[in-house]
Amino acid sequence: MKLQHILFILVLLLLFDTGFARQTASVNGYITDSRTGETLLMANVALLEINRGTSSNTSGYYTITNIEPGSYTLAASYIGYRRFELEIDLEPGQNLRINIELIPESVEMEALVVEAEAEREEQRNIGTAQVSMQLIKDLPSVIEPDVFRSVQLLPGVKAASDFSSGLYVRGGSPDQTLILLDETTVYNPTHFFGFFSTFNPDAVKDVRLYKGGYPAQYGGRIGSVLTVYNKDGNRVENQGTVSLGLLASRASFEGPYSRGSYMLAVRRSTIEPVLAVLRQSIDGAPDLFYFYDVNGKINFDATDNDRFSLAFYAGNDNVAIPFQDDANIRLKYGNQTVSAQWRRIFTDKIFGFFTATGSRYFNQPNVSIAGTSFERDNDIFDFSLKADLEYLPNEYHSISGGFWGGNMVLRFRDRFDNVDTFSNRIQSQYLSAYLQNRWRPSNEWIFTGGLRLNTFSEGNYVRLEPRISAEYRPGSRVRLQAAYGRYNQFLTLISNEAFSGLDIWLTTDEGVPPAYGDQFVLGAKTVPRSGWGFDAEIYYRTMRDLFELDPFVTDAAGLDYAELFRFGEGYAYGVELFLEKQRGPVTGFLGYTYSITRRKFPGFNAPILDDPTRARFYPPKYDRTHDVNLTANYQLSSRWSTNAVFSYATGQAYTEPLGRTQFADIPWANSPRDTFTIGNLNASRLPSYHRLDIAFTRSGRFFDLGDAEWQFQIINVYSRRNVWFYNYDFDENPIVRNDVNLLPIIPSVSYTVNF
Amino acid sequence: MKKLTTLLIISISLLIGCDSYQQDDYEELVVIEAYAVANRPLPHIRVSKTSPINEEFNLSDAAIPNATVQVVLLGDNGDDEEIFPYNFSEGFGRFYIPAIESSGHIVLPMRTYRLDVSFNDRDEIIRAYTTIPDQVEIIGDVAGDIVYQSDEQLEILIAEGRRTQNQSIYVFSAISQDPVIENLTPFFRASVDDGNIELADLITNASGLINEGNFQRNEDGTVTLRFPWIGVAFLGPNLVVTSSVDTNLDAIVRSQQLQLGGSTLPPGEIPNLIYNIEGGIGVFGSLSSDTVRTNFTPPPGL
Repeated sequence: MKLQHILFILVLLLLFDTGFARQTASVNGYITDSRTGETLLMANVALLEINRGTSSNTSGYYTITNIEPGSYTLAASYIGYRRFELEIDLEPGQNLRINIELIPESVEMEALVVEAEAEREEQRNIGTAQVSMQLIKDLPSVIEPDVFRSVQLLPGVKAASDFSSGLYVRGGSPDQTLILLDETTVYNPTHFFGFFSTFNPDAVKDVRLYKGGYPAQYGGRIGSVLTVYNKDGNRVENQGTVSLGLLASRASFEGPYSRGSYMLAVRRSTIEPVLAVLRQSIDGAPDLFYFYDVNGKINFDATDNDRFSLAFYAGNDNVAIPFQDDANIRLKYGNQTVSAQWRRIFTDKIFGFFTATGSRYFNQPNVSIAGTSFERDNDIFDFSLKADLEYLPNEYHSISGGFWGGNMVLRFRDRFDNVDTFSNRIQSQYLSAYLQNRWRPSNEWIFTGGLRLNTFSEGNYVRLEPRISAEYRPGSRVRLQAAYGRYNQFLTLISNEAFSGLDIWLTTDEGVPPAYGDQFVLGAKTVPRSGWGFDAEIYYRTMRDLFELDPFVTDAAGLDYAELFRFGEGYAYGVELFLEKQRGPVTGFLGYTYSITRRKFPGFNAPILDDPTRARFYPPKYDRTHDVNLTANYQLSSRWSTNAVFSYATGQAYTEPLGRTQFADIPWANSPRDTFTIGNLNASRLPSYHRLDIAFTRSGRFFDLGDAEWQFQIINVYSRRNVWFYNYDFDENPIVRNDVNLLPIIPSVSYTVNF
Repeated sequence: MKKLTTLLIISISLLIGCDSYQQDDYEELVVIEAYAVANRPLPHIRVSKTSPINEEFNLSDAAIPNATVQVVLLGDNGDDEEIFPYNFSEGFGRFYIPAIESSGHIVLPMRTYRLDVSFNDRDEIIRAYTTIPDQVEIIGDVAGDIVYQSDEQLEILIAEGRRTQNQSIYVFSAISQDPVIENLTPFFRASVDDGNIELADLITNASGLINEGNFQRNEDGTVTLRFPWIGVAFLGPNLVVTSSVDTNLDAIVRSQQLQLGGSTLPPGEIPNLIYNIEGGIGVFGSLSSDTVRTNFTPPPGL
């Protein structure tokens, strides 16, 4: 379909408004947890008599407009909460404010981590997946419960290795996923150099992944969007949690005050005793190795219509490792974010939220060897303003629009031997605006059209992105969906799968155009029988003008900015199947992904004797043809429950060396240098990956102070020695290939007290 | 529902069937290795063949003895100006050396040379070019004695040279004149004691490739370099060599380091090296060098 046609349809969708003046009524308000006052995002609310429904937005707000006066039953539902029903009478012209407090279900019901079909209006949008916080906390995990590790279990999301929490979504690298914490971009969401993510499950209330074909509300990445919202804090009573683990511990506090609520959650590694023992017996054990993070939020309810919040996050990783005499490595890296938000109900039809955000990421490695130092100072400062408005003129249309503008500064400085060797400062202003209309002409059809305009000052780029999706509901148990979108990306990440502590972001500029891509998605969401769900999606996406650091550039000094990069293209397609069991003693889900991902860069993977500027498509290492994840939860008794996760995936792509030679005479070399000759890059596969993790949880009381929970976990129960990559030993002749393995069996225990 | 399932199965089957990417077979390749040094005689040239990865490899055994090898000095317009034939030497190393009539030629800075290799019993025709960097010239005196890790580092002043590429690429190396274990500096002594490296591998301690852009150019066009302490493996007398390399040598060394790991490539993703050679692989590179002599003395207490 030509771009002009798409634009024409979008304009029609945006302008077409069937509303006309009449004396109608409306009902609106916030949906919250009755126990904590926490707003519930994407909860469903409906007027049963006229089959009019909607879901709460990312602020927990809902509104139903253009209602004929009369008596109705207002119903609301959300995962793990009792259904809410209230009889209401609406007068002509009345704007009824009803804040709904949903009551949490019993402990048994809380274990149901997947919602029923009728309760999942928004979540079942195409390409969208939600992970419940309870699931994240229940799943077996190394060191700490981890948001990203749980997201990696969803179809279409892959992990690079046991050591990397990076999200590889539908063939995209981690930098193709926009990660937002309370609307603020997080540039390096990792601890322990990528081992797990920065998000503290005690502080988080909502995690949502837009895997592809995402709406015009979001932009800036050609792949996907992960939104994370922290808790507002308990508005009813003071509450706290302390959790002690072998390698890390955490604590959180939350509660009400006269005009709102607060939340504070801290987490720190407690690995020092282990290091102290290691230092007695192992040379090179770290002198220092810790991480911490702090999440906080305070809410101020100024009026019934105005709510303000201030949220912050600060995380830091710090390591110092001595090696040999006269040499040491120090590395400090972390993120800080802050966001201030004003949410206002303007009228029964208009809701807005305005956000000021600040995000800083830094890494500061310092290596000193034999009196010669190498220092790097890398910073990102990103300050922005956002505005989002939602307008519901009638029961057919839901129009949203907004802008996001900011100033980004990326500073990068290398010093070698106390002299600056490379220094770069990029300052860029960015502005994007979007307009979107969700048009529901009947109960069977929903069309969503949108346009997003992006500008980026570094290089003076202006890009327009059309987005469109359609949903058809032939019956109550089936939804057929399709989506198309164009996406642009002005940033690229320089990283290494094995180590995220040195991550650097770079931007477009003159001669470095933004990457862009198109996404096509077809999907079906079904309810084959009560308590079950089965979803299928097929996607195809392109990646063009990909720009990333040329791996052959080992010294950037003296090079033009554009010379730092290689430019390429790629594509990905696949099928995702998701079967979930939502009710009964055993719950869980089974996800399967078949996927193909290819990349191409001129001069890379060219035939060895052919034109070196040629290129052939190749699979990146994280390409996995088949990927299966099974999670199951079983309530053994009133006190004991168990969780298990089994993962299977095709072995990752790797390059099998075919031949070898030697360069014996390099003028300054003391010994010959061995090299491989290879054929097709990454044309071989490591052995299949599979792993079983199990957790047992025992609930109880901590004296009379609060509820307590023991969690016993075994990671990699049968100690499968999955291969990370192969290492080649040139000291042997012929060369010997050695396995470098992933995680062995790891038992762990943690104790949590809620008071 | 049944139709939907059928459609799904057909779609998956189509997807699975339409994308294959296979490993290819080993191919024997001709390997060239030669480095011309400005203002020195023509270099020896290695002509060998690759070996399958699972077989024993010996560079001398891999040498190809029956090639026709010549180096050609090109004129300004690219014509052949002078041809230098080579002969195979069965002695140690088994490489090609300039024939007697070629042995008097001194490699000229700023000039381009072509290497031609052909065979009677192989199809390959090998051709490669190198442009010799301008002669590196260290001007001024250097300190005769320098206290290791003191505030006074070895400073080298390089004369302004003519460019053959966008920017010069340097390598610095310290060649110990008294490489005994007692002279090792603490870091390298620990490396040898731990068995991480052989003492012989430290006799020449090189910096790796460094772009000219790393150094501040003086107003008169000269470049001042401070020799880093990490370049000093042995105390005592050292020759400090400053070399400027051509793009071929730069490419082969950088890409060889990349193949061993590091950089932004994930582990296991191994690219081929960058070979600026037609018909084969390897390197026909060039460099120019200048050398100073200094003595690194131990600081008090070492």
